[in-house]
Amino acid sequence: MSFNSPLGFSISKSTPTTSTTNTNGTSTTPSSHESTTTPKSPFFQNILAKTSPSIETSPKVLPTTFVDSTTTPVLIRGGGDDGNLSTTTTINNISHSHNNNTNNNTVNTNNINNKVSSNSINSSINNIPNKSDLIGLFDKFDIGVKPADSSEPDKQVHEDGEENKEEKKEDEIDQEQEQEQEQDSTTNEKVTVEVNKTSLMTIQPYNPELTSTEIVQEASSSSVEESVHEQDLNEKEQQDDNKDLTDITGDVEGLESSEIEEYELKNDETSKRRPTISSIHSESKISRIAQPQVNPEEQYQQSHKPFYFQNFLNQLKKKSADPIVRYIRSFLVSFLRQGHTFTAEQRIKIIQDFKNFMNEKFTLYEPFSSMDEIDLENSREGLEKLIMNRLYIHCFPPEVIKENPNYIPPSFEDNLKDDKEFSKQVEKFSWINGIHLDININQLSESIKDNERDFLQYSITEMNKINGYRAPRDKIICILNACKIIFSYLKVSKQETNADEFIPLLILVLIKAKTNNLISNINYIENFRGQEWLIHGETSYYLSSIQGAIGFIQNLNVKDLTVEQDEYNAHLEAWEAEEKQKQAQQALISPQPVHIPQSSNNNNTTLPPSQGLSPSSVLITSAEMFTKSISNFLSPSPQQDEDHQHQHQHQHQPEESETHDIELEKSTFNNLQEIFPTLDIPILKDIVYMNKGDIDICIDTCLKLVNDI
Amino acid sequence: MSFPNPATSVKLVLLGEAAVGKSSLVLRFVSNDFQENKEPTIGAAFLTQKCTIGSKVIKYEIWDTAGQERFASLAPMYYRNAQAAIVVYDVTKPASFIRARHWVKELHEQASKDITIALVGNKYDLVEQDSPEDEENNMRKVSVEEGQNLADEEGILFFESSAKSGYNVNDIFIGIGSKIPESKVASSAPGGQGSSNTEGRIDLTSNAANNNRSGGGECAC
Repeated sequence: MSFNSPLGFSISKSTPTTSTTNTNGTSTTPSSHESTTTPKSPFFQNILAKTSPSIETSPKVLPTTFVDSTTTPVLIRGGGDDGNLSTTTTINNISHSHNNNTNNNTVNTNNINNKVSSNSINSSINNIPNKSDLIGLFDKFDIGVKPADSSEPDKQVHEDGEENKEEKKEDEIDQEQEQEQEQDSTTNEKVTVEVNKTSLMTIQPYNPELTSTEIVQEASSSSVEESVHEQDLNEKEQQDDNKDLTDITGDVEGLESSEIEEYELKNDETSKRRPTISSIHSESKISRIAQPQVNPEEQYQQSHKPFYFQNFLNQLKKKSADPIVRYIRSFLVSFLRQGHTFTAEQRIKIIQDFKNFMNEKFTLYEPFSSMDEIDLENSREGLEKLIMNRLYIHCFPPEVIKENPNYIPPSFEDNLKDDKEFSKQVEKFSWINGIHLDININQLSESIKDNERDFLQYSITEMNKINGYRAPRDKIICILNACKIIFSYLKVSKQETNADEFIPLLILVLIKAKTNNLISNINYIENFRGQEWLIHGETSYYLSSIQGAIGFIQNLNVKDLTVEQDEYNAHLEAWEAEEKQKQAQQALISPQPVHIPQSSNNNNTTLPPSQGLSPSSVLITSAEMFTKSISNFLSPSPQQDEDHQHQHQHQHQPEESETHDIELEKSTFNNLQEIFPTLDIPILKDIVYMNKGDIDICIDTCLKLVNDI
Repeated sequence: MSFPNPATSVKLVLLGEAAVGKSSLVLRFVSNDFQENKEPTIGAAFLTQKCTIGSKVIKYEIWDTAGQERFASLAPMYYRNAQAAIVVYDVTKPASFIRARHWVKELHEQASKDITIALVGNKYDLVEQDSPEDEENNMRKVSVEEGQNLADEEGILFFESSAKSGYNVNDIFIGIGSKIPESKVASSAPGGQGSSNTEGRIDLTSNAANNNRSGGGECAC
């Protein structure tokens, strides 16, 4: 690790150790000193120097997001004694308490248990006044820890009792662990049976997160409701705390989803985090699949090591880590304020520089400075997740355009374009199945055969979770999970688990998954995942594989497939016809292809890449399709109408209310035809359609045209 | 925590036509030790194995590629940044040798300049019983000379091996490990990766039984 700060910060200046004694003014950062240091990296320095603690960042977090933080701690701590909500509940705790409270969903508890006790420390942040800046929360906390600080009497009280509480809680947790282990052993089988009803048992251990997650989801909804209810009873300030905390962890994905969905999302993450990576508790079953028995200690040697985000957050709360927190806060605040003006390359560079900068700072402050390499790596992971969760809106192209439709950096725009084209390509080849890639389905044992679809579906489900996560690492895990399921499938079907067998399945999964913004996701990972984890190891392999598979799909043609030219042509013709049909219908009923989230509300200039059609192609073919579909237009079949209603509902599009009034359009069209006999009928139709049948506007438009002629 | 043998990572990519035994070769290589030295991976497409050569410890990260012709375009994704490559063909299949020739050329043109390449004629076990007189019925379709000539032309390592019997398998990896430039290896070591499970050497006895090893005795992998 290089200690040459590329930023030219003088360490002594940038780390005002005295400033931690601030009381309420903790938001004032040390960075004011920094502006005086050598400005080797103006950008970055700028960011660090300009700190405005008053910047409100938390509003970006919708209230729904604090559900996870609050609900479970209530459950696990037995309702928060002395008004003491442990706001910093971890993901571990979430599913932990879940297991406790919903007896039917034991998920990966072995792994979780390992970590629970270390998380019990969290309960000490309490009653922290609402703080706009997330990291300000940490400051507050640090101050509160000081008994001498009279400004936060509440916290002192908690502080006093903290040790006892912690002990007590660890006892409780021990008990819980025992219970859960029992539960785990009994219910593990149940999970297996439930999910893999037909002799797929061997698969299950390989992707416990999959099966268990689903069960959790089912089981969780009830308890979530329960806890949400409990939460309602809690005091407002606690909610505010939780909001901040969620903000810190930044796990705000799924903002638009309901509370319960959000909760499930967390659960996914929980169950995925450790078991997926190390498969620790599924060892016994692993061995059944001819996989060599693995020493648990060795598990941690994987390229994808276990990662405990909460540990990192806890470490940040230590008083000695105060300077670290200040750096992060000032960086985030500045980036969130100025980020939209940077090019994509600048964003990548700045974030990379900041990570390097922080890696050096880690060597200066406890608890990081005395860490071994493993814990330090965890801290680097934590830092990356923390900042990327927050800066996602500036770094993930689909979010960037949502956030700021007026300016999107060119390379992000390219990503979106690629996404769009890829989606189209995937639509075009959606007829492909295993046979076309020589995936030998006959080799599958009979019992598996029936479930082939399900397997693919599992893998697809995992792959499509990628858009639910913000941190690069979490996104990678989605990919790894999808790959893992493919390998499980190969193992169960007694095929070799090598690249010859894996790649075709991966391609098939990608085609069937139709993952939104896949290319943006992959590029995001490449750009914002720490290089130390990207260059080497298994992650790197699977990332390369998926990139290769994407490239294959992008350039797919008949030579790449085991298919008769005639069949291929027929499929493509069918696709083209379908496309035209779709375009025709969409153009008639809605001005935009159905898949396109309507841009009228947010002024999007570039279309989100999730849809299969580009607007230009709609325009190009519009003349043709109007001719073809004249009958549709004049007398639309009720079935079509229904279809589109349905599609609209399904897409939750903002323009839902803009459905065209066919009758109105028809009469307008007739009127226009009378008024402007010289204009071509298709043009008239276009005009009527585009103006949604508004006779006045249509006449204006036609007048202009007539004048032009 | 102590790090007695800081291993250096070497990315090794496997190329060759489908069904020539690429992955079998690697599976033979990585399964030749005590199981507790194994790092679990998602699938056999990516495997790791440590190998002690003299004083240096190399941790191979072995990248399997799909050998089907239609996936040839994916290969650059895999061999970029690779420090080593094994190009495998089947000594009983001339077409696979032609393919191997293409791979070697492509690697020299497009992979990193100092990549260490080994050409491997696999399935030696099938031709062991061939008699020199009976050319017609022999299984062997690619002669040792052909392979050796290609390797000499391209300046790469050459082995004939059998994943089935284990013949020469370890030697391939020892050969590559010995040939990889020291500096390259050192510079490629990721910080703190995979360095804490190197307690003690791997016992060779577990695989000695079926191993026709020809002189590569120093490899503890």
